[in-house]
Amino acid sequence: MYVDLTARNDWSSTLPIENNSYFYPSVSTGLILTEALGMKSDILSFAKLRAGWAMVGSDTDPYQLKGTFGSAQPFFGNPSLSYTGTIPPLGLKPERTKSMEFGTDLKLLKNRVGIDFTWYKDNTTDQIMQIAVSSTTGFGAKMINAGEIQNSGIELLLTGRPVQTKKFNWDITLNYGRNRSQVISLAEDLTFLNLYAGSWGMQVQARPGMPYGIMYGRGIVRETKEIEVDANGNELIHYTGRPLVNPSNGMYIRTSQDIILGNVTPDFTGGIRNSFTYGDWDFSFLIDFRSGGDMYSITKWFGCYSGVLAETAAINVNGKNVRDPVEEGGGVLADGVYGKLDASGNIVFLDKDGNESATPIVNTEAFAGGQDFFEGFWGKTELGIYDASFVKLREFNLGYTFKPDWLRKVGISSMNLSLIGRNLWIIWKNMPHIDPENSFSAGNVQGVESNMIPTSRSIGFNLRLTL
Amino acid sequence: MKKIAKISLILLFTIGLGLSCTKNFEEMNTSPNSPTDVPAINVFTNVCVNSVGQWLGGWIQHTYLGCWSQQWTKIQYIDEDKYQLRAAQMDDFFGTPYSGALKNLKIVLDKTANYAETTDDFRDDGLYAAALVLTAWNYSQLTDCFGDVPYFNAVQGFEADGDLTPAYDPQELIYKSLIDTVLVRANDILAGTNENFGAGDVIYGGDPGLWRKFANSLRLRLLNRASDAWTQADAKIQEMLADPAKWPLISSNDETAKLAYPGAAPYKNPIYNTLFTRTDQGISQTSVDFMKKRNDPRLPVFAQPRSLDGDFVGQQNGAARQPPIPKRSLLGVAIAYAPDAPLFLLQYCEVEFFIAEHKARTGGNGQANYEAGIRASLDYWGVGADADAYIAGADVAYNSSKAIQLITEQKWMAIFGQGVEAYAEIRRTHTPSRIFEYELEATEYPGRGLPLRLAYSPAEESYNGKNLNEAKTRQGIESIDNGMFGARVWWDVKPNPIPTVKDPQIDY
Repeated sequence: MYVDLTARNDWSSTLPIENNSYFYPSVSTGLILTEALGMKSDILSFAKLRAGWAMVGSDTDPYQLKGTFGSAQPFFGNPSLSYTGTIPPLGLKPERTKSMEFGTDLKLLKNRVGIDFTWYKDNTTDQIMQIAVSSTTGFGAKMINAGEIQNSGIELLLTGRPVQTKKFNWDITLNYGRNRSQVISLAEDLTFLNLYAGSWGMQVQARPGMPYGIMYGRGIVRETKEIEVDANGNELIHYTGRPLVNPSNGMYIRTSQDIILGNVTPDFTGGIRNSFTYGDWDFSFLIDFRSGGDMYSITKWFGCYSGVLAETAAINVNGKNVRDPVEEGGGVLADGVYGKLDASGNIVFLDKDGNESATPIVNTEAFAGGQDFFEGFWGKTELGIYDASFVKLREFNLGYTFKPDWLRKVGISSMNLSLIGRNLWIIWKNMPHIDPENSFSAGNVQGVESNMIPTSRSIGFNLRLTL
Repeated sequence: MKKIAKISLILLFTIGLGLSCTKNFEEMNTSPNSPTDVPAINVFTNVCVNSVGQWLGGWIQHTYLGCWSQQWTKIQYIDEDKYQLRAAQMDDFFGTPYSGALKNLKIVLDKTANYAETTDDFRDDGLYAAALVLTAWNYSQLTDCFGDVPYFNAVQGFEADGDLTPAYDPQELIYKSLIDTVLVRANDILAGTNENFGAGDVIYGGDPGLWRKFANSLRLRLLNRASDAWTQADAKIQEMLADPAKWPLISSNDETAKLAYPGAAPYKNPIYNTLFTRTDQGISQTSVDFMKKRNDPRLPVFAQPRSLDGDFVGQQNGAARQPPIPKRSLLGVAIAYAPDAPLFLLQYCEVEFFIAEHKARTGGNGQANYEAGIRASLDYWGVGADADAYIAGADVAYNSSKAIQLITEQKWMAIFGQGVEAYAEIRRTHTPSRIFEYELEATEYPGRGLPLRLAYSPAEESYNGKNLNEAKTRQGIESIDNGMFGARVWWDVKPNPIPTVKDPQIDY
């Protein structure tokens, strides 16, 4: 059994003097079961249990405590200065994260199979962040200690060697991860945090009592209306099912308020690597996958609005181009059922002539003019949102190891020459036109893609010398 | 024992080192690059540039209200011209005046508040009063566009226990405060000083006399606008006109309140910058028809001939399709394609028109001021030589039976490019009548006519929701159609006529 203890205290110049010292300990233990119990088995070759608890403290960036003036270029030679847009904080405290981790490391069948499993839970309190305030205060943001956010999940690493012979080996490694973020509470009177609020009508929000990373904006009305309630009792609308289509013009119907459009958090991510060695040859490839998590593709949305994507000039069910006049058989036949919203905002199903219908009727006759339909994407943020799951061939590696005598004379014991490729092939994806991993930034802002340049594929050689 | 002593010594040493290291923390955490305190005049320069640039040179002008007032029009990306809004723009139009100009003006006011006790040769009272006037100007634009807005408790982010969710105050109280408190105070202070307060004032060059004229002219504008809702308004105007020594007004084109632009990077006229690589705006057909009918000599100044055949042809606002650009007239070079073109806060001609309207409304004769206003506008644009012929024209000649219509429609044409002001006056006066006779071909809101106000900022629902909802309930704002119809602002007493005829379809 092993036990590690650490203790640390930081003093930071970036925090107010009254609060600038923070102490954080940690403890971790490991117990090698197989040794402790004196087990010697061919089936369970090695077993270790791990547990850890740590506290980490953190400060913030420098120069945050006092408001400053920023300067613009002099106007007719006169200096032009403007005060910061963020209210400097009062009584800022250091952030603290408490993390807890349990894991096990198992090796079975004489180390031919390995299982490494970890469960973790991190709670961050007093997270130092800028929150938006009403601009009528004269400022757009205020720096505060935010509240409590929790990240929990599991990570699993499976290794195996299905084939092991003198000349040929085959190893498989599978890794899998699932992370759930949750807002436990927010500071002061905040009812939600905006992780992203862009000009194309979408916000990504963190609300207490709801999954982290809700996409919120205008969408289209669908058959079924569901209401979700957050921890503060605010109701959020979510439409599911087939879209409603206006029988008189064949167009989708825009929601009259912001609704839940999706969530940026993936269900799970992971990868599988297969490696083969045959004599001096080695070959491996890595497949990465991700399931779940939505993304808003502005390329798709704006590309449709402005008529530059191929789907805006596609051939419809009549064999005519969608841009041809509807009277001549052209136009877009939108998927959906006839319907409308009544004055109170309730869903009403219609028939093809616009009369009320008790049950939904699939749209088979109402064509919308091509330009009208695609220009109608404006204000319907949902039409650019897709599930960002994918399966990709991430890496490929083919190599040969040389061990000629003349190298050894120079002090090099072996040399490996490999052909390597990265980001080779998107085997499957749901998102049209773009790479679903191509998002704005890696920070808190996930789930939005805006006219990014395509990811690049690289193929090259690698020479590795071992001394 | 030795071991424990060693360890304790090391621990003590480390802790001691740690403690002494914190000595210079405050100095270390003070940015060497950004100042925490600056002269007020430098902040004032920033306000002038950004505030004027936003209200007169930004999206609210060239895409929204310049088009809704049917002076300008969109010829590409025509959605906003059909009254379709982008929520993020409402956040910008509502929030930026507070977090930009009004915040910085508050800093200027706080720094110059003790001007009576200043020992510098350089007195700050002129700057203080000028900041009051710009504060009033910003609030008047905000409330004209949005109705009730935070005023009495706004901009308290500086204070330790400041109100971070200010209440929305009724427009009536805001107007009365601006008219009777703020602008009166500015006039009084400026009456007592004639010391230039610095070239950092890029609107009037630090001249308190000109700021006094602008303050009173702004007061006149607001009183005129409030005249239908406030019975005392005309009496107050009369008081001002009766004592020009106490209430000097802008009296020539040279005294017009405007921001001139250097014309070189980075400060070129914002409209010029917008149209430099894009052709999104043109001139409205309503304006072209108005000028053509009257042989208005300003037509070649406000518009360019279309490339197809050299004729002046505007684009109908709110059309269903974008026009082919060669068939449409773009905005005039002096208006939109000159990097040093100025932007106007309040023009001299408006003052004449305000006085003319007041006289016509109170049983007097507005002809002299009416004609003076027209001449002022034509003079400014370099076509003053044609003024006599223009004024004698059939649809321009003063006629007391339709005096108010003539005065207000000429004012509308003269403030070409001041979309926010034009949109307010159109709602109040219902001129030019064409806007109320024809519904936009592709209006987003059929059957509802001209919007009565802009939609409130959606961000406020999140950050100041309780007060926003109280304000909406108090004003009777509808929950449909973005709340833009159905509830007039305080000074907009007469219900808008709703057009029953659609704009004729355009043959491109």
